[in-house]
Amino acid sequence: MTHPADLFMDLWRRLQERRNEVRTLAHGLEVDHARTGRLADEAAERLRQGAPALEEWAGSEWAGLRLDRTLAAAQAIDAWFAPLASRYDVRADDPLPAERLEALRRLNRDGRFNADPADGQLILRPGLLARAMNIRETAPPDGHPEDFDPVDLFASLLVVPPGLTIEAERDGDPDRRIAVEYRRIAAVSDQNPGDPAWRPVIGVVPLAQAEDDLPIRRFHRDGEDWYDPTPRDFGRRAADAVAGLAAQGATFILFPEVSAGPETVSAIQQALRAQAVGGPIRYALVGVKEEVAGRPRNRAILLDRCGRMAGSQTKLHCWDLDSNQCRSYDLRDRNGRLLDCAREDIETGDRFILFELPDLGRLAVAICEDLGRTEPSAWIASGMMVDWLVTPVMDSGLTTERWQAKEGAASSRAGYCRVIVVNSMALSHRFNRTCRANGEEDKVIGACGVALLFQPRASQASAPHIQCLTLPLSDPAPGYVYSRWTPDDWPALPDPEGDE
Amino acid sequence: MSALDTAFGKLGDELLDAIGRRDWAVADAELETLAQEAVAATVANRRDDLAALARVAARCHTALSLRDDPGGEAMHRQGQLRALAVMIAAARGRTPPRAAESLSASGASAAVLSALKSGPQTCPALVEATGLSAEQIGGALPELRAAGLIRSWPAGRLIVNALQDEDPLSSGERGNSP
Repeated sequence: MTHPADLFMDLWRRLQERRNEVRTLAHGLEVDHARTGRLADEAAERLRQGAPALEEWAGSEWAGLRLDRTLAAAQAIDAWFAPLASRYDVRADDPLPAERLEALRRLNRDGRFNADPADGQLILRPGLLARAMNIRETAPPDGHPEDFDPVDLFASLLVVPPGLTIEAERDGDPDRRIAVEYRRIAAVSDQNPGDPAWRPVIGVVPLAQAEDDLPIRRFHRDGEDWYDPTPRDFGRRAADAVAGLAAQGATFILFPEVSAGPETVSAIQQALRAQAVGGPIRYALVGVKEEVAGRPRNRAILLDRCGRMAGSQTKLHCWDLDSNQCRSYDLRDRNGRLLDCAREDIETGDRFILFELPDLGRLAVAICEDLGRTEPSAWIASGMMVDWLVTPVMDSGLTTERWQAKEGAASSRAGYCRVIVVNSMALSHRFNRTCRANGEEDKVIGACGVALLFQPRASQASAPHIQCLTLPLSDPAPGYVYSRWTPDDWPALPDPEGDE
Repeated sequence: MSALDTAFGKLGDELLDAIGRRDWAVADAELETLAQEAVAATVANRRDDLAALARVAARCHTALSLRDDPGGEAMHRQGQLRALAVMIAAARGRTPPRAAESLSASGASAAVLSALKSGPQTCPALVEATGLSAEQIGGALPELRAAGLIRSWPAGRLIVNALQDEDPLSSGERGNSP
């Protein structure tokens, strides 16, 4: 017998194929609540009889498709899944209990409700943090026709496509396809992110504090200038920071882009293991630089409370520097000449992963340049399904005015996604040298921004809140910062219209 | 930390001790107590106790998972701890809605129920009708739905809410301008 999830996938395909008609239909339904009430009741009644009855009612390509019924049928299935996406026990009858059990089995076993992985992964749309309030109710889509997205027709379900088209890793190259994966991590947990009172402590370790902590090799190849940052070994420093943050009650600790090599990662793993039994740290995300098959790779690895690898995300786009950026970071060739441009020498990734993590919620990682590119950021924003979007960067000090703040703000404005940007300190020394050489003392960085934390808005009338964590560039002891997630105490972000 | 928290912690310590000295009878007795407490806390919806039990189960499971070559008997208890921890996590992930009397008495929930007496409305329309914030209304609606006091249905991309006992077919035009 057809499972409701598989029927949903079929209905979703039909709706996708008729996007313009569906948009017109949806706009009409949004002002005719009596009609939608009738359709919803009829569809729910058919679903009670089973997915085949609903499918027959919705019609088919060959027997005459009624688009309003197709949509109502898909929304009835979405509503049937709603109890799984609620933090409350639902006091109602339980239609199709065997199918509900099968849905749970599939999600826990396969990481999707649908049977065929070739269609992608049908998952619950809300992450753990969104179970208490549906942000799509408090901040519903606006009425601009061009902003219509069929995803917004559903509150409980989301289709993770098998792949996405993203921009080329470099300007001038063709767009490319990457795989998209929802990966559910099963583990013993003791945190409850679905509780609105949950207030995790976020710890950030810049690790590279001095300019020489993150040497940047420059070289010439194929007529182009390239750069290749390689972190020094900071095992002792990293282990001390992990222990210090554990003492402060940190739940989730973050290390910036390319801040750790293999020896440092090993030290972090040992330090996590040392606190695993009684300590508070549940995950660490570490920006690593490594060589795979002779090619450099820029990756963020996710470690669990015991220091074991839980997953990783490889950077998808290169950050190629223009002449202004080369000047800002004082990048010169071996003759001391400032470079006009410098390409990042990495092997880019071909997979984007949404991690479903006990003790934390749903996490996506966009390494540096990946945050600013159209995809997968736009897909994350439109899906409104991520609890945490973390961006490790290697840049000069973060502020609430720079690009990371604007991109982070945009991401957090669009949904309920908490955004964290984490940075090292090494490039700020280079930036300051350039400022001093140009007599721009007013731009010299003293308090170096190493983390930006964004709390999304809860409604159209409110604004995201932001917390900027800094360390003194001249004396970065203790080498880490932390903050409990208490956005009510943070300043509101200015309206984007007011941004430069 | 409450006395019960401390007692739960001691239970976990002694469970680990029993496994360490390979006293399986005592280990199984401690596990049984842990399971009984977890069920009692779940049935009574004692959230703080469930949180404390989750910490104990996770701590003991983590300690066992870090042991080198623990042996089959210890791994067997580790598996039982995992099952227990999963059960506690499932209980903590679901919250019973408050009773209808409580939801109707005061606060945002009562305001929503009152506003819906005049007909079905979307969340923005309820914000306008009640004068409450979108966050307050948005926070109240899921619990009212779970309690069975209101029913909701999609209207395009919007969600319309009505009192459970109201016939949506005879009402319907309120809240059309979200």
